[in-house]
Amino acid sequence: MKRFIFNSILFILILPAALHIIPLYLLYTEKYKQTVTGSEIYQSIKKSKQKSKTKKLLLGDSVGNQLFPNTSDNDNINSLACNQTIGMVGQFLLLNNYLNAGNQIDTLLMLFSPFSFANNLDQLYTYQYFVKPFFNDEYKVSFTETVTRQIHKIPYVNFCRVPLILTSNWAPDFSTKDEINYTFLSPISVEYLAKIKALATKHNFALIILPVPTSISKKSIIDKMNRNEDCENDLANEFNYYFEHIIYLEDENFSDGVHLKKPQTYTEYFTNKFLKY
Amino acid sequence: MNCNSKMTLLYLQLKDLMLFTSLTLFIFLLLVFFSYWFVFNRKVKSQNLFLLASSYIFYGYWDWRFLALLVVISLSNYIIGINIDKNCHRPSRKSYLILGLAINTGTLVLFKYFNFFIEGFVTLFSLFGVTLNQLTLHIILPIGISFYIFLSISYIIEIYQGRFKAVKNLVDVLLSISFFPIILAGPIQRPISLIPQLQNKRTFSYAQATDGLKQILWGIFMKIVIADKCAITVNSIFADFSMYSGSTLIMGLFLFSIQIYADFAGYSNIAIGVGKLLGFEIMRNFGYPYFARDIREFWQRWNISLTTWFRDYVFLPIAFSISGSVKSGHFSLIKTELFIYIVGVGITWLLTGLWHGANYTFIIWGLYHGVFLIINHIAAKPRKRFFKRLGIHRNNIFLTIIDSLITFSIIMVSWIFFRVNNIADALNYISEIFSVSSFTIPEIRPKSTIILIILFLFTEWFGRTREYPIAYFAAKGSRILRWGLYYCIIFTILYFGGEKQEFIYFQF
Repeated sequence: MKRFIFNSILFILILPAALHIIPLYLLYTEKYKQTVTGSEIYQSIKKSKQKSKTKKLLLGDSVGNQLFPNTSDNDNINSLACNQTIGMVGQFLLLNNYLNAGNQIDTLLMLFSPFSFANNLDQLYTYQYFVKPFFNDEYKVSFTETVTRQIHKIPYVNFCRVPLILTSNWAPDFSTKDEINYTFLSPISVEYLAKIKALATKHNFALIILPVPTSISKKSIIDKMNRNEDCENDLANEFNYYFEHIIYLEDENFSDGVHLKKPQTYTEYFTNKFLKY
Repeated sequence: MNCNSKMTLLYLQLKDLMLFTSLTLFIFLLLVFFSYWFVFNRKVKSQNLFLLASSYIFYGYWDWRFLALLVVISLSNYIIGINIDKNCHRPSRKSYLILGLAINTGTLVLFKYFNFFIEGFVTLFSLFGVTLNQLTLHIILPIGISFYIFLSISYIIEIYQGRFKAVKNLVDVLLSISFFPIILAGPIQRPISLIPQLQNKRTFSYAQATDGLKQILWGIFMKIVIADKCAITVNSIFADFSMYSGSTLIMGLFLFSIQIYADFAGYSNIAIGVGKLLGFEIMRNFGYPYFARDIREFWQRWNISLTTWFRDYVFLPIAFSISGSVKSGHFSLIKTELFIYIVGVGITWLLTGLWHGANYTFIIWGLYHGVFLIINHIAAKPRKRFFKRLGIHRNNIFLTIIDSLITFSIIMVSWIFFRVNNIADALNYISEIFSVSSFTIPEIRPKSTIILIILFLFTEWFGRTREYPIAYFAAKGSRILRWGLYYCIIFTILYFGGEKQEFIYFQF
């Protein structure tokens, strides 16, 4: 038994060092940004820091990313669409990066599902998709008190920079215990949509918020959303035509109830709609 | 409530379960291990009592109400076992056996098959124009019920057949039915082989404990890296298979074949490894089944504890009973021996299918295997003669590869019935496979899944002479190399472990 305990302790003591050989390599070379779940976020962050002559910028969720992939170059629209899990705070940080890189835009299109605005950084995937890419010194300064408070509710949040955790898909099990008293716009969305709106005024670009095609089976839930939440939060103009523009499609057009089976069919529609402005 | 919604409900319940790969379980195991060897190590009785308490905590963690069911079932079998044993009068012994079988199977039918049979009766009567009011109950399937009921049945049958004396020590009997490493999904370690181990004092063995740890590590790797990784792709393909090409569906089927093996064999490895840590030898449940050369051999390597259970308690009694009532020679146009085999296999595999779930798809899956076992039985001798005439030895490498590939393909098709929700879906899936689109390049993401599977299959192939493959590699090289291997496996588990999925066999 003594031998067993001694060897077990020795094995455990060496374990952290042994487990960090490959993660340190991945961290140093930044290759983990292509291999982890949520690599599209890192792609958008990288793209947001690059110079571009395109005057129209697109932010969006994963359906937005299907319609305008952030990996492809488009002369008309520069897409930073990635995933709703980063919340409006993540979208704001991408926009901020883009403007800080010296890029100028005349239009910002935000292409989101009606459900994306309810993200309050309280989802199972928040750790992997938001905390790991954004919870660092570079972005912390742009966090509001609400964001800081919210992400500290997630367990092991301070461990996210540990190379093994950062470069892997490990994330703690997490589900919110918060009482939710909104149906459409979460407190974080309200705060950061206001910040995006302020940037639009400051940099003089048009802000257009449009919905992505949505499953008809979700119509009843959307109809029950409190649409006054935008008015109450001084966002009425931005969401003026949002709900009227929702394209409802039969369930068979979606692979999982959310994502489109044939996104390219609708890309052209949105391109025309976007370029019209 | 139909079968599928029952399955969904079960999965929702499983969400809260102490998963065999969770941190909670790791802490639980650590506490049990040290208490077992340091606090309760003086007497066998205290060790067993502690293990029984741990097993009940483990099981009750999911839902304490079903713990009561487990205790009641175990107590009933304890009492019935003693009554069978003390009665010399054969009819009384038989009465107690029948009572025991009725309690055990009745419980299983009530919790697992009640709605299925009711729905079946209603459908049957509707065919004759009679409309019955459907009475279905909202019953949650207690986890592991199929396993502990089979352990209980085995206990009383062994006593009835005189192969085993009824055990007077209540703790030993209760523990043999609820031993925590095996209660959720096997192996079905029959009390006849577990109770003698419980009755003897266990002493700590370094070799056995480290062997157990290695087997647990390999089991976790199989579950988290291989099975869970495959599950992500498999779930998306099976959720909407009509939108995928035939080649992608074949790939999905291949991934499911790997997933179900890695899931169940992974669990078995963890269970056996935990047993070893506590000084127990639990029977091997998998012997590299996908390297089998025919379907008979496959079933000698897949879920061995269940297959041998059905062989001993269903197939053989049926075969003996028929052979006693049918004259030797020919029955109708076929040989009596073959007739007995067909009937025995047919009934056994119908029940094996049904054991896996209350759904027609499982019945078809069972019968499918039964049919191929019969074909294999009939073709065995002519095949042997044919290859002998050609001068090809059975161990010819090309023949081995071809045999294994054919067997794997047969098994793979059977998994369609196992995975889909209904027979119509299974037939549609098969028809999609046999389409022109099967000759296109499959769309499988992420590619790392395929690389991991190839590595996994190579490891299994090289280590196939051992109980689990890393035992082969661990037996060679210096400590640095061995520990390097373990660190690599742990890293892979942490690095590639994605979304956690429940063990598939927990539902049975």
